[in-house]
Amino acid sequence: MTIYFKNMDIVVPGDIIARGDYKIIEGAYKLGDMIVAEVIGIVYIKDKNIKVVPLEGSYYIPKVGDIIVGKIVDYNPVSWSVDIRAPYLARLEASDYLGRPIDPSRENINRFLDVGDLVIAKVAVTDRSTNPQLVAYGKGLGKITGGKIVYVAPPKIPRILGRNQSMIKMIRDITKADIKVGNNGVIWVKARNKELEELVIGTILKIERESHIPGLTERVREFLVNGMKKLELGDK
Amino acid sequence: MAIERNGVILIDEEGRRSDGRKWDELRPIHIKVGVLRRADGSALVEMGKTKVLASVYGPREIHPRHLALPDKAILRVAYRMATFSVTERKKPQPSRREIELSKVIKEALAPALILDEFPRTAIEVYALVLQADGGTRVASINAAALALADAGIPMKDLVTAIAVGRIGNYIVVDLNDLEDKYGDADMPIAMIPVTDEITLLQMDGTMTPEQFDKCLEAAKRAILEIYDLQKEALRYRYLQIKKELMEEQSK
Repeated sequence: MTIYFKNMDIVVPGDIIARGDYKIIEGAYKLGDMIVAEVIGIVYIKDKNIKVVPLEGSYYIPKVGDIIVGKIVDYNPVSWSVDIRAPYLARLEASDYLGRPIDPSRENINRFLDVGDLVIAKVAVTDRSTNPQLVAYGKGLGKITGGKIVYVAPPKIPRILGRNQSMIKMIRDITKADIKVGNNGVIWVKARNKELEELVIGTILKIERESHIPGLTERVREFLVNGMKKLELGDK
Repeated sequence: MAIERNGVILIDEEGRRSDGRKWDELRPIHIKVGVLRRADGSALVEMGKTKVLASVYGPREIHPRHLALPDKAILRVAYRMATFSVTERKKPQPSRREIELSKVIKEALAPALILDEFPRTAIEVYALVLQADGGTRVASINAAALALADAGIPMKDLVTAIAVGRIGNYIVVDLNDLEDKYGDADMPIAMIPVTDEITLLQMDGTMTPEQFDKCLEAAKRAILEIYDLQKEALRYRYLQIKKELMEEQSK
């Protein structure tokens, strides 16, 4: 039972994190009695649990229950194809967006959503052999208009949300902006004015860049408060 | 005894090589990770005058669709030499050699990757040789492994490669173009250091079994040396951001 890294150190693939009887949560594998990292990430060691939280990866692998921001790329009489920035194209049935059955001979579904529109949806069904199915009917889901979109690496989404969504709550509280975070690394921001939207986007990109350095929440708060002060000065 | 081939002194009286190195000395290695903004992962590796730029895209959708595997991702590798990478302009059309090297590089990298996390997708690696001075395939493997790690693709370990060879009775490590052309044997080797697996072993020329063993041993030592540089380069970017922040805060 030996540990070669400190808690929150940066590990890279092939780094031997520990030897002995540890439980792997994610981001590592067992080789004999060694625990070896398989991605670039930050290692968290707690009791006998080892977790490597990845720092890189621009791909998104859908999981059931994820909230995503997707773009309509195609449609047929009964469903839409949605680009969710994953290697797989997702499908959104018309009834899962409208919340009622649809008769394709009477209604044309591109009245509701057309190619290029953005939707906030939930991953309803997905597995290794079939493409994901979405649901966009319900509270907080559906078509979005206006605002701005910012793309980040999907592994950074938990950092942008923060523990119990604390980080995103703080951004919302300070800027009063409407922010929807997709687990697929797409974030939609709508605020009072353009400058405020830019500030929120700047904050999100700052979190993405500095997520591996402790003291993030305080730095982000400072950045936001300073940014708000500057904007208010500009208003006068 | 100096060794001369085709008018080139490969080993001088003091046992130094054509560029002044000792037999087991590597050329200066420079590695930079994350050099391309639009690629999912990228790395630039310089081994002496050999320069290779590797970029990785994916996992992404496969085209044509029928190539997709239901249980894992496929790995695609394209090794190409830039037209200006060699003394006489190389025709841009992929040559027989480039297609073959793409295949051996793919087979050297694949055992280190955990591909079954991404069924029905493709991971694409492009290794572009910007300047060639011997050992382009091993530099490509070193660069591609880093680009894959930079793209966040889960892997058992990095893959590290080196070319070793023989000139007369001398074993030489990290061959340059002259030694590659006029030497008696050259042997590129790629390894997964953590498991001690060899994923690429080719040889051109002749060696006795003793010379082969000595080559292999020298290659392993060199690989561990490069492996440390690779890991350091991967960490460097994050430590750099941290350093910048510290400086910002101390102002």
